[in-house]
Amino acid sequence: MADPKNITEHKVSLDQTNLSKRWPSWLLFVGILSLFLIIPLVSLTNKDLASSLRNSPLPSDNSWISGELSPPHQIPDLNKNCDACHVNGFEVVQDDTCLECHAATNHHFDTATHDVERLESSRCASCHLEHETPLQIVRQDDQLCVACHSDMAETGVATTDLIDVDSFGSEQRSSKKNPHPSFKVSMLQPTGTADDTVWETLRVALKDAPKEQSNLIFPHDVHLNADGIDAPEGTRVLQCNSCHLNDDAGKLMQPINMVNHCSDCHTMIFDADAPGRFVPHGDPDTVLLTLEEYYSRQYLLTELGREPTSDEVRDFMLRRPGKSVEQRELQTQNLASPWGKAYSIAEEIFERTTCKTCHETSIDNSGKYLSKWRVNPIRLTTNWMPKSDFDHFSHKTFACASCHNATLSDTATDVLMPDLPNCEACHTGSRTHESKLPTTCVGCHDFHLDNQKPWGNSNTAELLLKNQKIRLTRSGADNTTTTRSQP
Amino acid sequence: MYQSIANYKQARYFWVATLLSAVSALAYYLHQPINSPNGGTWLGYTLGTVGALLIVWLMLLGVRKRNYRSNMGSVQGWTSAHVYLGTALLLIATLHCGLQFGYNIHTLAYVLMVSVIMSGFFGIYAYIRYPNLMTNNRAGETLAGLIEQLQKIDDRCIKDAKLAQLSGIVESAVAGCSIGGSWWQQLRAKDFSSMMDDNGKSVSNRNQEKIISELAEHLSQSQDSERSGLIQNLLANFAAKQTLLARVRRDIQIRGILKAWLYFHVPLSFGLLAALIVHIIVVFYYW
Repeated sequence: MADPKNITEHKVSLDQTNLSKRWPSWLLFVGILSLFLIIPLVSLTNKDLASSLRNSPLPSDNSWISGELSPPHQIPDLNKNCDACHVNGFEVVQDDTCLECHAATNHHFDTATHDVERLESSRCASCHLEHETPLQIVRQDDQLCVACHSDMAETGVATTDLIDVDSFGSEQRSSKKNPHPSFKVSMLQPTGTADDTVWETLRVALKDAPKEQSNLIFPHDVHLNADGIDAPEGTRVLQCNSCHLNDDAGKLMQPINMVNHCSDCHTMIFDADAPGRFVPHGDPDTVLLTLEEYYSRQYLLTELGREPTSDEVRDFMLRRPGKSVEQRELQTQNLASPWGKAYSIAEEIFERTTCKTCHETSIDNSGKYLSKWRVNPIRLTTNWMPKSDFDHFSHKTFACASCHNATLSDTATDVLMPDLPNCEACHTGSRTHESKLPTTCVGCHDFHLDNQKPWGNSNTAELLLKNQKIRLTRSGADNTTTTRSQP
Repeated sequence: MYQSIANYKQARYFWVATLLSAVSALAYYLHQPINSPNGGTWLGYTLGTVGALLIVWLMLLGVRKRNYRSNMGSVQGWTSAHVYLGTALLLIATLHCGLQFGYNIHTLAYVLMVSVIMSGFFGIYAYIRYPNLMTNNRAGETLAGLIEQLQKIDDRCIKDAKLAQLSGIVESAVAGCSIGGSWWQQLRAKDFSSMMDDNGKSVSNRNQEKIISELAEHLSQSQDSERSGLIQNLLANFAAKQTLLARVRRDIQIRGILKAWLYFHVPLSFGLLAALIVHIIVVFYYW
């Protein structure tokens, strides 16, 4: 029989039980430190060990991930292999590591003529933030551009045609002094003669009401007449997309050309009595030759009064003596008349009808060419805004006329590109509270420009430039440089 | 105790914590990071540094409490600051991570931190709620006093039992009386008392019910008025013991609750310290 216990013999406090703060503290401290730091660190000394740990249920260096990889980087080579990019411990990811795959990434400006320290000292990862939320490896914020472009002089670009810009849409505040300027278009401009025309790209602001100088004569309003236009098969109502079709990428429009877009209606017929005969669309000399040849034949037929019989043709081929004298007698008439006819028709089509409907023509009496009538070459601008990344496909729910006021245009010199207010009807800056689509700079502009050298230091740049040349050769020449057109 | 912590020097640390939280929240609101807010921006690094220093300082309370000769401010002041700045840490760390969570060591550190703070909140709740209940329950006595009373009752019972020839069951009931016990028994506050029955088998004597019913049985069978008086005394004593024991159990339970949260709070905070160390090292290892 036990004696009654004294209070000290009772366990009346948790301190007297087997509960402990000390050993669970040690267990958690050492456990977490070992499992999440020491073991993963040790595993990184050996690739096989690292791989085994990553594929085991134990925490590996994968547990250090601070956010998911962005979707483009979720590829087998990179997924889970942290050290594929994080090559050295306690060192930020180096550009060379990025350029191992992204060799074809171009610079933002010409590094040979500009020295912008702010950009030169930037790393790929300064802008391309990985493991972020949202999972977006390409920067979308305005600060990417505005940090430099709000004040180019301060940025270190003393002489530039670029206008300072720090805001878009109705986000102008007292601190925002440089709203997005009026759009500039890159318009082709001919210089030189009709036979040796040099096409230069002219940058001109839409607010300065530029005139296109394509040498084309074309009234949009006539073609878009709601009642239709006269076509060979009768009245035909044209829509914008009767001629203007998206390119394969859906961004720009396919180039306009005579064969696909005009020749259905604008047949090259030159004689009402010969509706099946056409002059060729092209070199004026060939046009003139075609006319001469056609009217020479007509002359012969008229003189003979009929088609030659097959016997007569055979006799000619056999060159029977005596017969040739008879034939020559037939030619005593005015042999110049076919030329006369051909010239009068040529004058008609070059100066008043067929050619003149669409082309500017001129006269060259130098005798250098068979045809004194010359046709000024036409070059239509295909990419008016090469510095923007506009996508027609994503705007397909809108009528063409909501941006391009073609129905009121009666001359081909009208530039039908919309200016900034047109875009601002729907788009606005990213930090406004309007009921419009918030749009940042990269919504329309690219950072890495196709016409610049590859990103990277001089050594890699040389190598990469070579890669890029191969790429450019494959994809065709760039369309913003000066080109020369020969008749 | 809670009031003195809460209002220490006109709630000085409440205002310090509020100011710290307000400045952090304002900076977070005005901050315009490239993507969404995260620990890798300048504000992220700043809030992270503040948070890490806070965690280390908050853990130093354990050191300060043990160092009685320290003149680095009173423990009361430290505890007041611990409570308020610990609460502010919840906001600062949340702003630091920009509410970005995942299955990784960083979120583990955050979860541990929240667990530590939540267990601390329970501690504050316990210190608000239980001291009054404890005082009321003990009705001016101390636990030692209550146990002493129990001992006196036991002594009387044993003496009376001898005279009433009931030593067997009474001494068994006294010996089998359970006070406190394991952490589970302390927190449960259930009477785990036992005694031997007539066949020498251990049976439950929860709330002294078994011994009381046994004594009542003996009383009903007693023909001797003197023995009946003794048994009545025993009944009265065990009834008094029943009441006292309930108070003692409740007192032990409240003491337990006032301490139990620390068995989570302290180990979890060491887990947090480890996770914090890993967090800081690896974010710079894989920079």
